[in-house]
Amino acid sequence: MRKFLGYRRRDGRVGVRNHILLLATVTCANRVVQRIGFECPDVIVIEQAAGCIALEDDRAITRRMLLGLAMNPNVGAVCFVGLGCEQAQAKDLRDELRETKFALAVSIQDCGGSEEALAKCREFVTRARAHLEGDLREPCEASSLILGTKCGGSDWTSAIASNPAVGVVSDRVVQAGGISLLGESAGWFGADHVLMRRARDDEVRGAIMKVLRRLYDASRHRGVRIDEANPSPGNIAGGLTTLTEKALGGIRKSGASPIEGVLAPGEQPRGPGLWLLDNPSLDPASVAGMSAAGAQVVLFTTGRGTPVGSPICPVIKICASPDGMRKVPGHVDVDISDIVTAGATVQGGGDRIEAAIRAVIDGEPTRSERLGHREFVMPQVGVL
Amino acid sequence: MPSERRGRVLALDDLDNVANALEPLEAGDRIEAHGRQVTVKEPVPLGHKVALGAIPAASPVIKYGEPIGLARCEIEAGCHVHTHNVEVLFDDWLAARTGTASP
Repeated sequence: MRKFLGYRRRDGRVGVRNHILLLATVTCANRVVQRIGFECPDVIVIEQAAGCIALEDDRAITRRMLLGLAMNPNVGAVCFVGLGCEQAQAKDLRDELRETKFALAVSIQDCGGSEEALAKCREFVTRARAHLEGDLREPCEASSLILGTKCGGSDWTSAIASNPAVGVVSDRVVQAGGISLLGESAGWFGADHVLMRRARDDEVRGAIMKVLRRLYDASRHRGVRIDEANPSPGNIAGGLTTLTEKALGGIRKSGASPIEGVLAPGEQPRGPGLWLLDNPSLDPASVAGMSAAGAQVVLFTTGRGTPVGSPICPVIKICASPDGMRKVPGHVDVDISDIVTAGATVQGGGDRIEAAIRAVIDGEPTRSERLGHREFVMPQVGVL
Repeated sequence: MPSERRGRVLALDDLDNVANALEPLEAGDRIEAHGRQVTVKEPVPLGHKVALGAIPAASPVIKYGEPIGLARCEIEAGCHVHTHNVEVLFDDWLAARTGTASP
């Protein structure tokens, strides 16, 4: 992997976009950020479905996630917008970011109401634009890359063609000294013994087991079993026979690299290499977790074709399904369906994905960016 | 004599004893994966698995170089491999991983 041009941040991380982000910390602040979103299409806004009256575990996730999203290197300037009485306070989050980037906090109750908060946010946007103007991209080492990997709207081609091709790229990023992230912890059941084998040490094995026990026990507590959810009837009709087969196909996105550790949503990787992310499988929540862990780019395989994007990361859609390419070609960035139709190799698919990453880093918008898909769901304890 | 059509399949790992059909397969189709040539014995739908060799009863069905299930009965080379002839590796994840019955 070669050097790439990026925005170098004060914390040493490198962005491939230079976003101005308005981040609601709680539902009560949604209207204010929404209005900025309408007025300023160049500004990224994230609304919240909740953000308050949460138990300690969810509270911790929300807080870390909000901070992680703001820390993402694709964000050049951020404003936390809160009501004032919610659990994660905008001002505290801003203070925790320290001087790593241009950041502001707006509390609706402190500034006299919604209209007044809106005025403050407009002022932030003007100042942020001035602050980011003239930012130049500079050559950065490939080791600065943080890659998220995800599959969704899968069909039979995902597991045997597009996921393995993404795995090739994930291994290359790791070999170049970068970071790759594999999420969707509920999808590890059945392939967990393979993840254990690839874990760096016993501590990592323990961390993987802890995540799986938590998910398993929570499902048993509800009187259901998480290990019975897959394969779905649709999966079986498509040719998937067992849970293990499905799970092995999913983890192929992470290639064959050793596993350095397990991160909770919003936690930051503690070094280079492949990290597991204990986050939901629900597409927008999973991608949100990856952006909060610092991913600049997410590789997203799909067979049936999904348009889902991210407010913060370019999401590159990879499709190996002739059926998907026929039905929703406008959702797909990299067509590698010739692996199943014409004997093209998985390695070659990896080459084409790598070329697409380079183009996207150089500023070419992804399909989801063009389509304006910026879905966001906050990972929460009960969200699978 | 029926014409010998070549069917396209994909097996990712050398160790795999099944391959995925890249197109619907018919009995009599010739397939090849990792140097193994097999004649398809029965229809295999698109994306489904076909045995690359005989898989004895109770022995592992291998895909991605890993067991994905156990043969319920002897599966002949060229046969469709799916839920009708494959047993899951475990019923209960916790019991399988800890060797104890789950509560």
